[in-house]
Amino acid sequence: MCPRRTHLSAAANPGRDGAKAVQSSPTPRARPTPAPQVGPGQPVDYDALFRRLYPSLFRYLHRLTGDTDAADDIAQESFVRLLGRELPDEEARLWLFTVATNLFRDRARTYKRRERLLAVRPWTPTPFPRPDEAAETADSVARVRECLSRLAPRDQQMLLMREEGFRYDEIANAAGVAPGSVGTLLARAARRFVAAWDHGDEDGEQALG
Amino acid sequence: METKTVNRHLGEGTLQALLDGELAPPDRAAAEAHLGACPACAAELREMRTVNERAAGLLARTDVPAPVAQAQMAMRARRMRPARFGGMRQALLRAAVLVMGVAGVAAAAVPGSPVREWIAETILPRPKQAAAPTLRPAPAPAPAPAPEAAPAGVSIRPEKGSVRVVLTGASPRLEIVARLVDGDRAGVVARGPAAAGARFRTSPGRIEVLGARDGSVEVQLPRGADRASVEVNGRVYVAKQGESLVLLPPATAGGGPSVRVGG
Repeated sequence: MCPRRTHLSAAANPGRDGAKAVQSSPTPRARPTPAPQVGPGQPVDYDALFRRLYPSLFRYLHRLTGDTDAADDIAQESFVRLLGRELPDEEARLWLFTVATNLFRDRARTYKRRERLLAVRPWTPTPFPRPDEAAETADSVARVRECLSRLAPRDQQMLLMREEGFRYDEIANAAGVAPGSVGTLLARAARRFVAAWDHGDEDGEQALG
Repeated sequence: METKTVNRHLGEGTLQALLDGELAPPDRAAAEAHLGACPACAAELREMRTVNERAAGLLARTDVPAPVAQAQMAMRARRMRPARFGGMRQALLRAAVLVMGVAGVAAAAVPGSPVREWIAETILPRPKQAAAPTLRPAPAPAPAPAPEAAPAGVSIRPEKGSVRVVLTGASPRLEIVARLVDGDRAGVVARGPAAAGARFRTSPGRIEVLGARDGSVEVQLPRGADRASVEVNGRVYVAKQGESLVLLPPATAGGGPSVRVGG
């Protein structure tokens, strides 16, 4: 990986020796563009809400399920449940992800079975493969999913929500953990996930225990 | 407090929060002051940054390429059931059909082959049998405009108070009327040509109507359902809000099938 060049806060900490500057700039993460301000009492524009929040929710669910149809289905169902709730945009987003995660857990057994059945071809072929992906084998994608599935469901949820740009308080709320523990839990989840990848199947399991 | 923090190593939770931009400004300043003076913590921060970047990179590998995700959202409308057998599977299917067709023709061409005999036995004698009543083949029964096929439909009970009616492959000429009904069942009735062409599939809390063409489809949603919605070609057109049904933007935008809410 190429190291980030941003030496943040050299100005904020004038006392610090430039050579020793530690990169502590936050990792930029995707977060959907904020909604245009809707005045109170104005009806929620569901169509716009859908277009704004669907991509992130779909990516989250696709990473969780490994299945485009399942991700699409859960995303759609979550939006249907959102209708009529008149939630402010930010709340709607957290609400959607929480509902979608619950729906996924409710149906996890069905999807696991489906995934096994589709295991012959776990990667949905697409008409637009990215050039750098051409060499990517279905094997490695399946292995990433395998490594992710080694994490506890709660840790998967936290890691994936963080990747979608949720704040710690939101992650704590959705995953049902103390806000103060989110950093530690995320650090460990990321470590286990990467360790499972590095050490192959057996060692990954050891790293977990 | 800040001077104390400088002397104590930073926990991984603090380092992670720093990486994620989650430390409040005073904590952040304290952490950075410590990092400037403590090579061990600075090394751990670098290591954690690498782990986090690698985790993000690995997760991104499994993603559907952005153009496809975009297309998935934008073209849900065109995503009908048969399209699920898209891409490679469809290509394989076509290839298989082609191979079988070619093999069949080739087999029929070989004198003495079982296929040729079968054709001779089952297909060729037909005209002879039909010769007797060959009077005049009544005015072509083919394009008979089926005298208004009988209405077809299904009904289900909501699942946990929720019901979704999903129409896929609906023609733009289709008329869809959704109404609230008494009783505890949700139902779909297709009339006219739609009745002949439509297929129905049900699963808990969900009715799927596939390939409804011209004509009309009436969707009956129980007044008592907590959640009820009608999706047409991948978009939600009607949803129950409170005690009534509301039309959502796709219905008013035009272009698709006409959807209205009946009394």
